[in-house]
Amino acid sequence: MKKTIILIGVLILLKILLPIKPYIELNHLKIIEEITVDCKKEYTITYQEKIPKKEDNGIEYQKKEYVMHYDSLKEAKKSLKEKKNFYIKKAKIKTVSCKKKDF
Amino acid sequence: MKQNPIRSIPKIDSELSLEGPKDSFIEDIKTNEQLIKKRIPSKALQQKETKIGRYTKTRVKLLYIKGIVKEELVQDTWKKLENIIIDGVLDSSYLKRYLTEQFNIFPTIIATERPDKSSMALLEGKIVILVDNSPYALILPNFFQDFLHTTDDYYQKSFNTTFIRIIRLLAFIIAIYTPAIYISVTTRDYDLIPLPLLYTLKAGRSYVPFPAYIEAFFMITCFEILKESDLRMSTTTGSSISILGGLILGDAAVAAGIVSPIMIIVIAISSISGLIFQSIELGNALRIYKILFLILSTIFGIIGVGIGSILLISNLLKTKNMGFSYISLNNEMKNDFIIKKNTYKRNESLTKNRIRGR
Repeated sequence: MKKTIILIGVLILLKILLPIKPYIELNHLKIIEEITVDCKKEYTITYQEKIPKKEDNGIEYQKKEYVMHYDSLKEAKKSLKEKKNFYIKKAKIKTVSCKKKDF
Repeated sequence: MKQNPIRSIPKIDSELSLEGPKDSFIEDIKTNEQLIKKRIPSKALQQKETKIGRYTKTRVKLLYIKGIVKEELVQDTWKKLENIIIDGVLDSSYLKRYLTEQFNIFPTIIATERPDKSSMALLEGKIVILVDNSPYALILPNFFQDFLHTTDDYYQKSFNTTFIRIIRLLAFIIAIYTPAIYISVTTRDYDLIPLPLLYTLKAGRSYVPFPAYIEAFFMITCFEILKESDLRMSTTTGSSISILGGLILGDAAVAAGIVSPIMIIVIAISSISGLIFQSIELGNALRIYKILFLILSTIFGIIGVGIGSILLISNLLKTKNMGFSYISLNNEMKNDFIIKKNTYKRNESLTKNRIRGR
């Protein structure tokens, strides 16, 4: 009993201390294929999601865009970190009218 | 004098093998002893007998080969048998808990119906316990690899045996890890799989209303119920029920949108891999670890799989059987763990008389 309690305590501690990624079901995950950053007036970031749909012939893909406006790039990055269900690790980044030093 | 009814020696029922003898133990201790003595007629084969059970007074025999087995092992086992206080012994499995030193998830005692397996164990320096009214002999002590090996390993060529042992070890890993890794890559650690596969998995799960771990537990429960009902049903109706259950679980559940096809594949691969082992207790241990890994991967992701691996390895290393380490990698063990070499030496942990032949 004592060993079990210690083990549970260690697991809770590990849960708090370790950098564990958030739990997101695949149904709620938005796989972003492309990110377009437009720096003309304010920062406009367009996230293009690729949605796979199972059909009789195989898998067909649909696309959906999310457009967001920010005053600064810092604000945009902060906003992106908060969107935990956006999977952007494999996304291509395109920039329009932006200076390289911003990145 | 009226004789107790005994059945004739049947063909092996549960521990099937492609080659080797097909006779099996029965419920009569005298017949079982004769089956072993037929194979080892040497006078070095010794036996000690006692009666256990306040009301049943069941005859129990301890067999060993003098000159091979360690005397301390015989004495320790005999002492444990003599100290058993129980109302009755109806089967050899009743003695198992008295012969194990501590609670173990993994099995440490082999119960076998095969006289050839028992004789092989005696020649290795192990002890065999026969119990009257039980067709299962107990072999001890055992190591982890003994539960991965079968009698066929000793009747076939080294190359074939080595290949099959690799498959069995892979089955052991697949049985435990597959559901946990699937849950972790579809809920937290998406980076571990290629993007095309991620799209396929997402498409397959798009219509499933439940979280992945609920789906996994549901499928594991259904599979275990199906397996249990198949064991209890007679052969005639059992196969029909199995097909019905499989169709319901497989086809209809996917069509109804309750589970995804990939989850059925994952759980089926994991469960079938667990059935490869003859030992029921090892199958039970694999099931416990599969569920533990599933819980850890749901909470921690791939880190949980790592934590589970540490717990699994530490459990294997900590387990002891009659004073012997469960995982013991001395030279002969290494020679016989996966790669079967024609070694003519016995395991040095079990005996000092190591020369088996030339």
